[in-house]
Amino acid sequence: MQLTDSPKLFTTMWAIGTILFILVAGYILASVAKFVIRQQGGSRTLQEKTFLGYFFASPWILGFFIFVLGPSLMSLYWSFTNYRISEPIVWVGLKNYSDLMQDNRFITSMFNSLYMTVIGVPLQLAAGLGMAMLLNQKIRGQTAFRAIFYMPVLLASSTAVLFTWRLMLNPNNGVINTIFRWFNETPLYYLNASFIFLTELTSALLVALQIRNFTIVERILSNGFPGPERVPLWLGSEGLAFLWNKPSVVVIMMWSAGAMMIIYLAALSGVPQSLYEAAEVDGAGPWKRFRHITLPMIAPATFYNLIIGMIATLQIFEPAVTLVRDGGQNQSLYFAAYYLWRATFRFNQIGYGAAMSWVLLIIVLMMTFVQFKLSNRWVYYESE
Amino acid sequence: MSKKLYFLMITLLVALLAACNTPAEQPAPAAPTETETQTETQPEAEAPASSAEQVNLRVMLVDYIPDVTDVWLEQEVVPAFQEEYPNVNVEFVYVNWGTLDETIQGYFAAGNGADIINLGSEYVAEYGDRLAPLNAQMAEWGELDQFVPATLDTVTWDGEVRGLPWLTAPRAVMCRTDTLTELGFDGAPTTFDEMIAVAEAGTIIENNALVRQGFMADGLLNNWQEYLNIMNSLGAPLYKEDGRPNFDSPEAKAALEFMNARRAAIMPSDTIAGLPEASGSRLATGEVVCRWGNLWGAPATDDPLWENISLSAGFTDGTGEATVQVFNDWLAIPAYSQNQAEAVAFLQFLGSAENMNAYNEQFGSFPPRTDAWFGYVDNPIMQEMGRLMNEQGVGFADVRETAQLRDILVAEIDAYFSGLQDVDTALENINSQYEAVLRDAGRID
Amino acid sequence: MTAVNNEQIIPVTTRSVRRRALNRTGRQRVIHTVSYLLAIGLSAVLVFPLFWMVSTSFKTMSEANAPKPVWIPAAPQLDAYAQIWANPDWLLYISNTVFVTIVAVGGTLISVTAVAYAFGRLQWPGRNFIFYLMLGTLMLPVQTTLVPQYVLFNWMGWIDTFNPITIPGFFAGGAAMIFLLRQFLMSIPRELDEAALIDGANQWQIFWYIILPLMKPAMVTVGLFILVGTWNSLQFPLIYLQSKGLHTLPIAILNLINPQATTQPWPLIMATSLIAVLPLIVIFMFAQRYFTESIVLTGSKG
Repeated sequence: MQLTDSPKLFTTMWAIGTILFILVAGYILASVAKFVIRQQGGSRTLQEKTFLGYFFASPWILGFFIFVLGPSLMSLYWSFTNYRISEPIVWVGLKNYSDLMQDNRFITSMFNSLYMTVIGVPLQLAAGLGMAMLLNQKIRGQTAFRAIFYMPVLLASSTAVLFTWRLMLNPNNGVINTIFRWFNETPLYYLNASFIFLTELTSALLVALQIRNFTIVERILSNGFPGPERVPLWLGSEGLAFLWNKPSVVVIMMWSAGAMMIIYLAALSGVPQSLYEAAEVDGAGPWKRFRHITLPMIAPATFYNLIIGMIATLQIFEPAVTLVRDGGQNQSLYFAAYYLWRATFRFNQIGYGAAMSWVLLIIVLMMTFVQFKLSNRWVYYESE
Repeated sequence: MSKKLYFLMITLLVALLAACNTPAEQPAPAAPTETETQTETQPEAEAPASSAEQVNLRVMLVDYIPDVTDVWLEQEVVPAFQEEYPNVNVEFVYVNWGTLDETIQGYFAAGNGADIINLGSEYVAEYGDRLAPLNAQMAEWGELDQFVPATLDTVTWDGEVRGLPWLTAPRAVMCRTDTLTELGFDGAPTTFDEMIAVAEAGTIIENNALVRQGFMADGLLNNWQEYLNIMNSLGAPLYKEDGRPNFDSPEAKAALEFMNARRAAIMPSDTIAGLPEASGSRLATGEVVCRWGNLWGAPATDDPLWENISLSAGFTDGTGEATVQVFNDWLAIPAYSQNQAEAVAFLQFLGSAENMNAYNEQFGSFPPRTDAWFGYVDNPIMQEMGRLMNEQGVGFADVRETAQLRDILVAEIDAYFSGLQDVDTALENINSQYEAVLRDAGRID
Repeated sequence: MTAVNNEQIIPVTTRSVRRRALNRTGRQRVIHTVSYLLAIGLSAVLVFPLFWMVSTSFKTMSEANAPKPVWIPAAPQLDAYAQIWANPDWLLYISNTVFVTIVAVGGTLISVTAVAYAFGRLQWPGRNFIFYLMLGTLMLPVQTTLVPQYVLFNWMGWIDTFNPITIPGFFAGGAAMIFLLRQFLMSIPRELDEAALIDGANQWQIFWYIILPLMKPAMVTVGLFILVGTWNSLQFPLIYLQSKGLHTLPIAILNLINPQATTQPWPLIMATSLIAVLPLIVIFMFAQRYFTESIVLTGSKG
């Protein structure tokens, strides 16, 4: 279907066709639902309600079958085959799944996501909460600040903005390291050096866990406390830079914590002021109030942000393409979404890609389940 | 409860039926346009060139220089072609390098697409079987013996020529001779040891950040393509007789150890910040002393700076001769094409010495055929590069399951270079992982 | 969880309460000032990448990548913008992006609103089951259906057309959006519908004349989400939009970076980036009033 002459016209036609299709199919669906209710002896009002409900919901129901359920089942089938486009499909049983468990790149992508979950998401949560607490002070120009704090969210997923970050995070002449070097000449150097030391140590620990070899950690320790000549290696590609690629992404995540901020703002506005007043009267200091009132009261928001944030760590795609070359040194920015894309569209391994996507689904479900279980211990719901 | 379930199942079934009908029902409004395209793209297959039947030839090209090459093709080449073949209408589909793979896959998956497609250097192993064999047509044409042998490597599969080389870029070593003299070297390095010495002496580190690098391979120190070339230079093929990978050979190890030693000479500590993003050829800015790569990364060939730049093949362990890796974009005719005769005619028209020269001049790349080496190719630098390519060139071809090999190589080399594993483990991993990939792809038993 | 009760205030004497209150206003003022300064500082940090983008787009090539960063170009260059202006391709990329965004936002917004209405306002058998099924799809990684969808689209001849990134939205793509709108709908008092029903309005009229106008802030918000998502999206266009004539801005900008080239045209990249980002910022500025309003509202009614 090469309508290269006017691809926009082509899609417009399809759009109109799709709307008509949804209306017609929705009408049929709703009529059938109504018919079934009538057969069951439902009242006239119930029949009417059934018709309306199914008619309004029909776009999603139709879409679910066409774009979710159908493809999912197909993908499940392929995950047991060696399917490659235009070659015959051969059933291979569980081979794709067992291969996956031994696939270094897949394991790497899982550890990369683990790093982001353990280090990145909590930092992003903290940034979002910090911004929300700040705005919750009802300061002047609150609306403007809220807009500015949120704006990075609009930009963070844009290729364009990631390129700006790439320039700013160049370890050699990027503007961020330039500012960093200013501080290296002042007593604040100790702050910088601690930051470097801590970042490298945590990154190295995760790498060591992955390869089950702790020499890299020993190396960081034997390098000792960073001297004033040291700068973060951010998006570099040599030496220890692979320990810094993910922290660079964390910086960008913290920059765009506005989405989490909005959720926290909503939660904070729901905390009754009287609780704080009462606690203050009891002599509870700011930290105690934060610890014993704010945190428990906004726990549902934290829970929500945490789940969304964790699932998002599996989906990081753009940084692997834009910030570094082909996934980064030591595949430091290889995330599941990126690897899945490579396996499918670069290696042509559709069956393998399908297996990977199902393993991902299981992981997401497990993560959510565990979170729900754990949340019973610390999430406080108003209704309870 | 069961009634509810029953009801649900019925509705779901209806919805499913509706969903299945989508493609049949939906195109109603788009139907007229659809039939239009079909008559356009699938004209009579057997139409000979002389017939009055209108043929629409679709040519997919990577548009490297927008508004230059495409204008030239559409306004000069096609009208000239149509004087001979007035019945053939040529339509270009321009794609970008970044989405080339998806485009080609889509074409082959659908069994329908452009009649001539632009392929990358190493693609013959992936798509060779699905391209039209052209030995007979090319023999009839009789101009294939003008082509540089290394360029024909990249288009040959299973004993058949599968397309025409189109844009050629050999990779060699370029060094700043003025800097080398300053450092006390009397010429470009040709052995591993010399290269490591230059890498060490040529590197300048200030403030824990690189200011100048003794060596760089296309922006990298872990360049997997260079690694394959060094292996080649040592005389080791990529595959053994039985098709299994050859990374367990002593040459593979020597090559990798050399690359690591060279890297360590440049980066004595692992906390050094690399060079900034490039702003111009790093040879011109003085940021590197020696580089491996094609002429695009070097100053323009008419730049006076070339008085201070040497050109050589590469390095070996002191025995034998280094190879020059020859990259080639090439044009092929997919087996699904319904317009083979016209496609071959257009391919050969594009492949004339004049057209090859005119096209490649816009890039500063080489025309793949030597009788097209006139005009801008008369430049001494081009001549020297041409000589190297002709004498020591090896096509970057037949790299099976390239994308996967790239990932495996880069991952294992990185892990070795950053001290996470030793060289033997790295090579063992490369060999075993790549062997599994080849086996899964059905390329070895 | 033990939260402090309001009753506990009672034992405190009035005098101490007054003293505390006095202290508090003084302290509060300090806190406010500090917060204010913090907010300004944080804003500066958050806006900095944007500033850097603008500044770089006016730099010369050597300034853009100077060993010591140039904060503000000595003599602002318009070369990058002239280059974009001179190249009609950029107009095409912009028009492609705008087209894709309009179609996707239009189709998605309409269908999502309708579906949310069904879930949030209508009573019908099977509603809860389907609603939870929909929430369940939130857990499904997009990758699960990526490949089969590719094959589906390939089978339908949709590869290398705008369809795969626009048409699926018409089927209420985006369970999260439906959820958000439904939450908002739940916060609109039911009495409104009932009153209208008594006045003789039917469900269609209620939807059209009562609910839709009230949903404006939430729809603006959801529209903004979809708009940002479509405008910035890279992965799907990268897979489906193969011909150059169909490329959107994110792909075009990605293509400016050529890993083989010696120099990346940073001012040009930044100028195109600015063009890609500016419409979002402008739209956000207009929409942001509705935006936060609706989220705070839906959030508190969770």
